[in-house]
Amino acid sequence: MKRWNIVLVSGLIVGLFTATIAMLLPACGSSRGSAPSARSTMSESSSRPARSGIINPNDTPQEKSVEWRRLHALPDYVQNRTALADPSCLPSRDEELWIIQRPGEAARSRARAASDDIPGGGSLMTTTRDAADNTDKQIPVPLRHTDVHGSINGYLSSVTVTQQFHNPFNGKIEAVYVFPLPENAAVNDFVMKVGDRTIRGIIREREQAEQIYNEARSQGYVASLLTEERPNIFTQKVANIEPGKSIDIAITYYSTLAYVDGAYEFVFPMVVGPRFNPPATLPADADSDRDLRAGSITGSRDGIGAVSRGAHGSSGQISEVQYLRPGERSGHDISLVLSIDAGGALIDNITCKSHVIESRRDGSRVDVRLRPLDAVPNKDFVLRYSLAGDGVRSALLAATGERGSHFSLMLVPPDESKNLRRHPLELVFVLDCSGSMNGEPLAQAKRAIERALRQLQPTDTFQLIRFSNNADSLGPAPLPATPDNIRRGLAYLRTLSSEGGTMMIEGIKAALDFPHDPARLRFVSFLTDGYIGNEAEILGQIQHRLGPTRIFSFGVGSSVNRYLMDSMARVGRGGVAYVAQGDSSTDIIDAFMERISRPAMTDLSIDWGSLPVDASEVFPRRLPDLFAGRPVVIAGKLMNSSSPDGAAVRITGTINGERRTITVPVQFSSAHASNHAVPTSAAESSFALLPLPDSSAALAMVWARRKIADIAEAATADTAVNATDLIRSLALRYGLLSRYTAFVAVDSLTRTEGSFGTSVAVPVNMPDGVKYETTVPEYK
Amino acid sequence: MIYKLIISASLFISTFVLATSTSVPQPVPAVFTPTSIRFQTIDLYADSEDEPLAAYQIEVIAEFPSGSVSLVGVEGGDHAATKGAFAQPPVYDPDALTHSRIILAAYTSCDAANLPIGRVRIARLHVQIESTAGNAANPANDLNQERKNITNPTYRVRVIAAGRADGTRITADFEALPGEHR
Repeated sequence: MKRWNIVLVSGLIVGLFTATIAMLLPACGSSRGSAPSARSTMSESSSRPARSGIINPNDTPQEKSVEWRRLHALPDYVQNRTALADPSCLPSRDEELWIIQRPGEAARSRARAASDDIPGGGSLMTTTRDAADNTDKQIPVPLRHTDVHGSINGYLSSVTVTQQFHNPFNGKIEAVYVFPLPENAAVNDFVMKVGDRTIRGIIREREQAEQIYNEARSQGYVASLLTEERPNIFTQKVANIEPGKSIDIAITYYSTLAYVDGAYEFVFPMVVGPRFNPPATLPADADSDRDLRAGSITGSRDGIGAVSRGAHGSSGQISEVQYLRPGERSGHDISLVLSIDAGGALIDNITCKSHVIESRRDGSRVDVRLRPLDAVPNKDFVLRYSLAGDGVRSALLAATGERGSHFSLMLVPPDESKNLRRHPLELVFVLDCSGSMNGEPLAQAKRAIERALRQLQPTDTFQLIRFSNNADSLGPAPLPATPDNIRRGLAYLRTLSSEGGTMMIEGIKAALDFPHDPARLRFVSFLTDGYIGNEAEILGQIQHRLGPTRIFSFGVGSSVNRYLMDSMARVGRGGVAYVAQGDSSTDIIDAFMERISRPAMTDLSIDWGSLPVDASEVFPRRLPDLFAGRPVVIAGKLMNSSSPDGAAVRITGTINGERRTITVPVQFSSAHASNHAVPTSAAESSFALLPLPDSSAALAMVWARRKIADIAEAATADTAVNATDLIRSLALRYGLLSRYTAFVAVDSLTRTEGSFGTSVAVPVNMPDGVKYETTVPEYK
Repeated sequence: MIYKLIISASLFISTFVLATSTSVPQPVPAVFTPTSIRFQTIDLYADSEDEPLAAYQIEVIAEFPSGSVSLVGVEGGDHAATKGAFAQPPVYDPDALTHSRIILAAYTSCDAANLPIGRVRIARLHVQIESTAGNAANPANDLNQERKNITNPTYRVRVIAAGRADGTRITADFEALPGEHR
């Protein structure tokens, strides 16, 4: 009996063990088959193999002491900061790589594990400095080249930027690139080139475009997505780039040129500077520069994170820029060609201090080319040129196209203001002493302030404020510009050094909350690189606190945040100037002092005469003051396309207490170029959509972009403004990229095999003159 | 004897359990996977007969009662057949898209001698098709039912204008057909 019991128990144990194994086997198989995300789908005729290796929380075992992550095995290189992995040790693309992650790493990789959609998940990079011979090595990146082709006609420019992505790895990748464009760029065309085929992208609501892109990506289609993070920062994603294949993305935008101190200025930014994202609320122990800059303690994820190459997710921000470390270099380079047509006027004195250029002249047209030796995209390209003769005059250019009639009015201050007497000034200099200003930028800014202080007159007053993690000042109120006080100011200036974060909001509050002497014109000058991620908060505070103050912002550095600087000047009803590397900060401050010493033309009003202007569609809504040497551009819309002969507008303003008037003639541009093959007048109405090479499209896009900026700025001061709907609706109607719209393109002709691969962020150069060590946190 | 019994019992139970376990329903091979979203190309053809086609403006209308069709890309036409005239993607009207309409236009500045005549593919659209009826009617994941519900949208073209190089109107037929898939 006892033996029979043993027999039965043994049999049951063996049977149960066998049964358990048998039940687990199909479960494992099922798990593999269902590993792809829930949205993964297949077409009716497709029987592609199931994807494997995508992180799925449902099949990720977790323990208390270790965290397991399953990564897809693709690359030649494995994320390792110090060593090149032996390719022979790597799993094949069909195998899976399991990495045991220690608890200490869990916090900073939380964002990484949270979503596959966040760029840079999984890195294909390796460090490249050869310690033995201390030489630089190039890093394979999925962006090979950027080509810029610009055309300038008058003060309107049309620029096409072609980004050449490729896949140097042996598995499929998704390339992610965060890049800059001018803040007033009206992006209205997006084209993806796959081999010899060209696909025009479609403007969509951002959420819809992202859904389409993600779906196409997960189904294996080549797709691309262009989104706007800030008016001057954009993200390009290209999915399912197969090994060895290339995909080009061409982006076209219109913009207006600035006219600064007698010269037109064309600017093309090449790299996004490292942004600091102030925490919304700081815990008591949050005083670490590293944590502040990383933004890891902020409650907001809406900033632009600055992280080292491969450190995806460590900033805690949704948008991140990965920076190459000192000594690292990517093969990504840039070329730039610009064609300038001054419309019959002779172009005079072309200068480019930022880059080495070569130019070729053909009558009133000049072609400019960036020299190949200067092809590293690590600073703004800034080209200035003037016109022969008496300089520019106020002008209004109007044109009619398929979206109605739009105009652009350039208002040039009258020369007579130069001869008027000087008002007493109240000058407040606010100096950014954060880590990103370390070195030459801070030195340039201090030289500029010193120069300005030495030009003050005894009737003026001044004050100095510095800010980094906090703000402090030379004194609690503006000081009379006596020799003793000037010496005190210069001594204070010499003590300032740069370190820490960019709590600009503290500088704003300190500067704008000073008691104001109404007998003086008050100017607040910010000297900064503008490397912050909370621009909206800054602009909102300026609008709330501005009062009678005028803000003049000075962008210091090679790749300044021009969106912030220009916006501060606009909402601060002042002006902006840029001091790049190699520029004479003293020359620029001299021009600034000259400008503010002369009375501006204020309280502007415009009589549109017989021009059928829709007054509700003129931007900026609040007309700015006109300072000497700084024309302003106003964009508007006409109620109909009538172009009365001899029409003129009259601008009236106050200079030194007297009312003055400027009369501006109206130039109506022909809707269609004469050398065009198609349409004649008989067919014009039928072919209204055709993209004719005239200024009507440019004026319409520039107007829409200006209106979007105006709505966004209004929303920073008044949260009741429903900016999202207004901007989205306008951008969709005009086919414009915006914060709430995006371009998406899908090549649905061919479906690539396998999973969509690993996301690879394009690491970028640190802007010229900016120190990596003081701007990008390194996690050890 | 006892050992034989033990072995026999073990084998019997194991065989029974294995047989039972393999009778558990297994995942169906992925011959057809239910899907609510797919992508497709639409080829646009123009037939201007003997007239050289230099420009066109058309509206493409998708009819799909059980779902929606979204434009996700616009591509040029057959390069060889159009002699390169319509190789570049046509432009679309973004304002029309906001009203769920697809309006396309293209022109060429080629010499009249190099303009396409007859029937040529002048563009290709890339669309996303989202079926809604299939999912709603298929809570039990019935593949056959899903297969029935997912039908193809139908497309037609409304001609707004077609013209010669000198801008004069011509008569041309346009057609939209689901394209090939590689």
